[in-house]
Amino acid sequence: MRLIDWSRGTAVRIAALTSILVIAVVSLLGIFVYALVNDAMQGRVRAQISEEIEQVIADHGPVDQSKLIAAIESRTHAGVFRRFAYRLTKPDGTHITGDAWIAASFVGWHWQQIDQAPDRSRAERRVLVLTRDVGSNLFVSIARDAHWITDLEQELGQLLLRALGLAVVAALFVSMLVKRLIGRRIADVTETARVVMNGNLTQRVPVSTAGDDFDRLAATLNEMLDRIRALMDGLSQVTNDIAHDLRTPLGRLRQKIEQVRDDAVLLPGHASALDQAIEEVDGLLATFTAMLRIAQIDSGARRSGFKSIDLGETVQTVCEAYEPNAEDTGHVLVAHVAEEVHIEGDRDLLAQMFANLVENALTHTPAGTTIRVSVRPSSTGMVVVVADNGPGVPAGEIDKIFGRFYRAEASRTTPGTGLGLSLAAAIARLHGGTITATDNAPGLRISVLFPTDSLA
Amino acid sequence: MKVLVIEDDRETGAYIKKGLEEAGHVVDLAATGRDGLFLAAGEKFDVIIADRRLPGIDGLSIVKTIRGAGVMTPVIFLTTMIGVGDRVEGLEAGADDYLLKPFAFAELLARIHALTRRPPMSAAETVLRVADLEMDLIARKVRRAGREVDLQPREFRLLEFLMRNAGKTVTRTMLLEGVWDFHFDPKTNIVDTHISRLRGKIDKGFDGELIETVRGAGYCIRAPH
Repeated sequence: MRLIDWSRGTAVRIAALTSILVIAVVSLLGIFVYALVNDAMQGRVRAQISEEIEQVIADHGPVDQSKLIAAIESRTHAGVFRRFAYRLTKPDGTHITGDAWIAASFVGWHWQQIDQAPDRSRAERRVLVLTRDVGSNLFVSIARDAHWITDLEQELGQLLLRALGLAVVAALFVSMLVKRLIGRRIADVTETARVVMNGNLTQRVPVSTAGDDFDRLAATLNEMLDRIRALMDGLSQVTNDIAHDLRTPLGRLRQKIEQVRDDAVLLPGHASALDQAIEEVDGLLATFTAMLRIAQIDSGARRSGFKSIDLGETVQTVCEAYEPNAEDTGHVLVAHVAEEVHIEGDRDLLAQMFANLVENALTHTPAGTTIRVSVRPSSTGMVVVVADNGPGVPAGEIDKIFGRFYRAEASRTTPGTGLGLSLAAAIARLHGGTITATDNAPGLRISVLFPTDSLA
Repeated sequence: MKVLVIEDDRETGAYIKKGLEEAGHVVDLAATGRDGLFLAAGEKFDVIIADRRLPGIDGLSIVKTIRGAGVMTPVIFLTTMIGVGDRVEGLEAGADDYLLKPFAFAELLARIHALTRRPPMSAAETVLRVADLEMDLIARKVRRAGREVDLQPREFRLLEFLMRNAGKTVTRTMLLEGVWDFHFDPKTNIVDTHISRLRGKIDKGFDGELIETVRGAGYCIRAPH
């Protein structure tokens, strides 16, 4: 049984949030560093180029084409290991002298992708080019190989990616840690609550030695459970006392009436009056019995006696038992039991539950009604359905039928304690099942779901 | 028959004693568990009726103790407790039957008779007979006056229960427990309906009715007078 749905747990949400935050911070930092470094590097290259172009112009005084040509040619031929490439052009792009591969068609900075660098060391690289209008219809262009910036960019990028990877791993680790630490504590509380809900009021939330928030929560919950248990014990004591105290005098009353009926010389009509009195007493006793049973079942005390029960056989027996009565009252009782299904349960109580459901249908529907009882598997467990096509229950009242002493307006005059369906609901709860009433359109449909984990 | 009643409630004890004596039994009444245990262990009784809840030594302990000492006298528990778990607990401790207070006196009498005058059933006995009605337990066949009667499985079990207690009154509650294993009180009279079906098959059209209604108690199968 899963205690916590990890995909929706608070611990998971906290962990996920932490991870996202760490990754976001690392990414932002990376982008910032990358931009800063890139900017500084490019700035240096630009400064070098600008300086060189100033040099070229300054060295040769007022602009003079032949001197510029000479200056550029002398620099171009300075050797293989020169730092810059030079070109002199006219504004219309006509080449005058220098490195013809430089694109010099417009004034200003631009990056140029070249297939082959002057030193042929790489097949492809980027150069930064500055073209300046030096007057007298002349453009001077200077290019500087900037492949090291690209290299640096790449290295920096890889470094940042590695840092990001590390951050993701760290975040995942932290998430796992949070999930384990918080998740386990929450699971403890959830599990305890579930056990208590199922009727074991002695279960307590484990308290660790850490004395943290969770321990304080656990201690408070445990105190609350102690208190609830004390109250429940008191209540069940009172209920048992009342039951005993009322059942005993009622029992004596029954004995006395019985004795009088059997012993005394009675006037005509008195015998039947006494029989009616006994019936009334029996009715009262039945109500007390049902009330006490519901109280006892709800306290969960009977779970200890659970055995593996054949659900199908139990339903079948109940239907067989009621079949002749159904026929006599003009009802059609149809049982459909799919297969042998075993559940952990109390056979006596389950038989009573099904009997109550069938009796309920027989009592509150007119002749000619068909009552279908079925046992079949569903996606969440086993479902026992008792459905009739009688008059049904008004939509507003359908949720109330499992309440104690509920009597539908139309059935106030029919005999019964008004506890039959409450008892059925209590028995379903005891077995970890749920009982629901729906509109069978027409009629009433009562389904009891036994979840998969109660199946034996 | 000699009956021991262990009951701490004075009125109920007196009521049971009076009723049993009127039915022709000899009754010893013990008001505490200690007295009850003393009597049960020391004297020979045909049946013991013990309240489940007694001050001091309770009914459950008494049964465990005397069964441990080898006393096999049939024991009927009386209880005000509602739980079916209690029933199983009582039977496991060694009690033979279990009755929820308050009860109709006829119910108690019927159960005493069912327990004490149980005829010795030899294992070889495979045919039950009441007058001209015959039940073959092996072949699962029923004949009346030589004519085969077709019964549903549940009707067969109902008739078998009656025939095993032939001549004795069996109550509706005993039938509910013995035939359907129902340990609750249904609002509907399902026993009466089943009995009337059964009568329709084994009594109708034959000479003399075998299944008798015992007013205020239950049913009895026996040869017609």
